[in-house]
Amino acid sequence: MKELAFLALVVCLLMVVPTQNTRAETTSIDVEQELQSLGLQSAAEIMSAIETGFLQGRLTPDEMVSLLSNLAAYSGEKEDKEILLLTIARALKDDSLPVTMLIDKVEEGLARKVPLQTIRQMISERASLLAEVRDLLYMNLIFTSSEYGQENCLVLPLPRFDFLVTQIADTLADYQESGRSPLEGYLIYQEMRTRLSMLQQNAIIPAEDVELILERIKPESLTHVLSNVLSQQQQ
Amino acid sequence: MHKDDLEKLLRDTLQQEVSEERHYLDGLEKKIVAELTGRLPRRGWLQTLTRLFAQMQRSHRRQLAVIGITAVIFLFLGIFVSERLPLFRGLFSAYDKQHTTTITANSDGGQLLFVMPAPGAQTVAVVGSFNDWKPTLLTDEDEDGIWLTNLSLTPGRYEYAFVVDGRWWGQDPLADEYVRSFGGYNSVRYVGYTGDNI
Repeated sequence: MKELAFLALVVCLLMVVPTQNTRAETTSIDVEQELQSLGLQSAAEIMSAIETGFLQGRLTPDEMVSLLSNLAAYSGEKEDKEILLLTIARALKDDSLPVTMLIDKVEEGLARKVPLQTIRQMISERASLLAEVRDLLYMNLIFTSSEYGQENCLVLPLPRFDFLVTQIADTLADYQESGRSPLEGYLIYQEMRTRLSMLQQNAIIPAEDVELILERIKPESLTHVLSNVLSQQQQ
Repeated sequence: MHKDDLEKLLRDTLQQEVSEERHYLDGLEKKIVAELTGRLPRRGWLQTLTRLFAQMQRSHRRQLAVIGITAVIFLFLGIFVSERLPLFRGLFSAYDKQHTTTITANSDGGQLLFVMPAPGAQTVAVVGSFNDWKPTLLTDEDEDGIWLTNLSLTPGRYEYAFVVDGRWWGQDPLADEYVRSFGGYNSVRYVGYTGDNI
């Protein structure tokens, strides 16, 4: 019986070890510490938005710690860093948008050693695009919450809705950044169809979501989205 | 009738009758075995195991218990190691936070090979949306100028570029597509799922 007791003890220890490792993971306290090290005036507003992102499952502490520590180590004006973070925070909390794409672009810009002002401008454009695309889905009766329970409307779970918004906005942003005309609605639509088809072929996105988007969203509405974003940026 | 003729007639008649009735004998053994087996009381696997366990000596029972617990320990160890080693990571947790349903990643665990020909280069790295744009170094062990690394990625769409001695190179011939970004190029690769239950 001694051997059995010893083996039972080993099993218990093995079950405890992973739990202790989990406790060592990054938490919102680490995020707050990184944010404080930047010494920003709007730290409380930014932190509040980040907490909302954690609750919604739209952000993880790891990606925020990575972003904030990279920003802290980056040379540039504190004001630029603050505006950059505020843009992301407001997109997340005030506009309830998915911000993974924005964080990824900031990380890329920092890695490429792009001036903060250029990154700021790009993030601002992409945040506007996310909002416009989200509104476009709403207009086409594609929602993410049951509160919009109209007739003929389709309610998607938040992660699927966020993924669609992100992929469409990213496609439009890539199109815009390639320097092509925002008036070529059919070309923009083709780009979107290609992106969604690739995602579908790789089973990253359900076929029904792709069919839904291609059926409901028309080329002219994509032109409208890009024109709106351009006019917002010019103002 | 002659005696020999009578004998022949009898033999032929018997042979004919035997050959006509032979089909009754075909498979008779199987039928009997099946019927007997059907009459035997059936035991479930649990009952059989319990009976075997009861028949065992006490020392054998203890040995069996030790083997069982050892197997459980190895199972836990397997899961524990698989979650921590990069090579196996994702085998048990192929869940993408962007989806609402669990789906299985490629059987190769989403392994993606990055290859960059850069003869004479000092360092070659890959940066992308899979590593927060932080460099993952490529190696050229046989010093033939072909640098490579194999990364385990969860399914998704990834933008990336190579960094050769500090210079960015965003047009990988193995890429699925290219996009413009910050005035340069990024390569794009899709890592897919197997199956269609998304």
